Amino acid sequence: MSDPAQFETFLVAYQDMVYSTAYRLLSQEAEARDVSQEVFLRAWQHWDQLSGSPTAGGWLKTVTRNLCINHLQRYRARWKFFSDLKSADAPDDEPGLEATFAAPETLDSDLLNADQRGVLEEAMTKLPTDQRVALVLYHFEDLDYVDIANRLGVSLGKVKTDIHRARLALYKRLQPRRDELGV
Amino acid sequence: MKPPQNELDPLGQWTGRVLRQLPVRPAPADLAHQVLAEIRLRAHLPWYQRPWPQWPNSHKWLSALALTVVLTATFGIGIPTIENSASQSLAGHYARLALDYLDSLQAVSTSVWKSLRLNLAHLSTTTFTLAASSLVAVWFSTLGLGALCWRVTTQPR
Repeated sequence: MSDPAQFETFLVAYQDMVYSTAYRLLSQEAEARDVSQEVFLRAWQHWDQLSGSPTAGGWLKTVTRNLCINHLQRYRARWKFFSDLKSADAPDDEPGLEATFAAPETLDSDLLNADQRGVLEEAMTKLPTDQRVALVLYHFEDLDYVDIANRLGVSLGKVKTDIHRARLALYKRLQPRRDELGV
Repeated sequence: MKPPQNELDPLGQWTGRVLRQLPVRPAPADLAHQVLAEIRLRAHLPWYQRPWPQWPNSHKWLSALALTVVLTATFGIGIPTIENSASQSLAGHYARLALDYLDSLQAVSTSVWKSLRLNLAHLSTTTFTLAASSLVAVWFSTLGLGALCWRVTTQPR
C-alpha cells in the first residue's frame, strides 16, 4: 500500500458516484454512508491493483452494488419475509395496468428541472425496498431481468412484477404533479 | 443487453428517460475525511486488534498452534506431560501452569457436558416439548413484533 495522496485524489473523484449508487439502492443516508466508507476501505486494501487502473470506477461500482445487496439481504431478510409473502406469488403481468398509462408520443416533454428532480427522488425513496432495488438495478445499473433475479435470489417473475409496480407507482406519485413536472 | 420489451413499453420508456435525468447525489462533505481517518487509525492498530488474516505470519502460526493445543486439551486427546527436567526451569514452571490451566479447562468442559447429558436424559418428553415450543414461540413473537413495528414506523405505503 502506498501513496495516500494519490488515494485521496481517487477518493474525492469517485465519492459522489459511490455514495449516489449506495443511496439509490439503500435509500438511507446513514447506511449509504457506511457502505461508501466500506467500499473505499476495500479500495485502499486493493490499492496496489487499483492505482492507475482504467477499470477502477467499474470496480468501485460493482463492489458498491454487491455490498448494498449483501446489506439488504443480511439486515432486511427478516422483514422481507413478512412484506413479500403477497407479492412473491403475483402474476407477471396485471391486465389493465398499461391502459392507465398514456401513449408514448404524449410523453416526449419530460425534461425535469431541479425542483422536479427533488420530487422524483422523494418518490423513489417512498417505493418499497424490493421495488426500488429492482428498478435501480435495471435503470441505473443496466442489469437485465435475469441478472437482477440471480443477484437478489428471487424469481424472474417477481423481478418483472416489482419493476412494473415501481414504474407504475412512480408514475402515479408524479401524476398529480404532472403540470408542475411537465411530464 | 436489456430485453426488447422495454423498448416497446411506454411506461418503461418514460421511467428510463425520467430516471436518467436524476443527478449524481453528492457524498457527505466529511466522507473522504472519515475514510482517510479510518485508514490512518487501522494503520496504527496493534496486530492483535486487526483481523486475523492481517496478523504477522509468525503470530498466525503461533495462534494456530495455541488454538490446536487448547482444542486438543478441551476434548481430552492426550495432554503431553512436562515433568522431569523441564519442570526445574522457569520455562518448565510456566509450561506446568499452562498445562494445569488446560487440565482445569478440560475438567470443566467434561463436567458441563456430563451434567447436560444427565439432565437431558431425565427430562420428560412433555417438559422438553414445552420448553422447545416456548423457545420457538418467543422467537417468532419477537420477530413478528419487530416486523410490525418496523412496517408501522418505517416502511413507506
